[in-house]
Amino acid sequence: MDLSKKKFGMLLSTGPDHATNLDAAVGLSEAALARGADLYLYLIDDGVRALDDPRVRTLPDRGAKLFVCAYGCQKRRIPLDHADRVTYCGLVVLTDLINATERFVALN
Amino acid sequence: MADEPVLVLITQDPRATGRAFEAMRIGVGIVAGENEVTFVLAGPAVHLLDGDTDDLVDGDDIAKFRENLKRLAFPRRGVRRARRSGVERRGPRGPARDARADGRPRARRAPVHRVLMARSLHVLKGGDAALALATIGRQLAAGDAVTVVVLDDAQVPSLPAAVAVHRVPGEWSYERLLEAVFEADQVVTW
Repeated sequence: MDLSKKKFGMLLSTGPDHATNLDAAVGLSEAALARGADLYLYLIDDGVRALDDPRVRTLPDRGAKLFVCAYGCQKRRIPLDHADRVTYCGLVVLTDLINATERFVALN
Repeated sequence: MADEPVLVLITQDPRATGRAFEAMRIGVGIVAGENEVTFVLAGPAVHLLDGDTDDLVDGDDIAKFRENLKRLAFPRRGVRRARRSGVERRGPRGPARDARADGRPRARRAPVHRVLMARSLHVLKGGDAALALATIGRQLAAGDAVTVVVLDDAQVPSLPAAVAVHRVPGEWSYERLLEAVFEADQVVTW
């Protein structure tokens, strides 16, 4: 199956303590990038803490579009330190991702 | 997935965690878009509807968002024309092809493989699988092709024989799982 240029969206709402979700998000992200798909990853709720994981933080270097819930960061007093690599945003962007991607998977 | 309906399934207990409210907040955010959204509150998540929200985590916010949901007066992005606006204007093409004078639905027929069968992919992560099993059962009864992927070392629930089960990343790689995601008509994570 040719996945190049296919738009794949993913939502992660759990933190690094839920290793199953985080590993799946990273695994699917790496698979999507390896196959040439366009990857859109949205971190929300405790998922914003996944930005601490180097596997997630380096995804934008490989072409992933990484979105982080600004409200979730604010609520957890996480500084918006990575604005040069990720997009801090709100739920309107999430809605747009759901609509714009060909497949969207939520890992809650 | 443009214009696809969205189901927001909330299972967390709002008396114990803020994740229930967060799910409600995400759902309200999607309502603000153009998708039809259905909320399902399962198990203790029904407490999101409690009259008194004082005992709920983020209770004040829950009350506020609930009011928003009641009103559903979200601004839309303009009125769009129906994609097939001519459909309703046309008359019938001819006599009904199924002459069923009794007015009952037609008898169930076997689905044509990969043509009429919806392909559903369920991703199990180790939580309560009861709702997943009920959903899978109904899909099988409707003639859907169902594949289950079990992540990591999550337990495999007792599944009907017609269901293909694969473990990721042991049996299937994440690349294979990604292919399955694109092959499926519907992907549900539990």
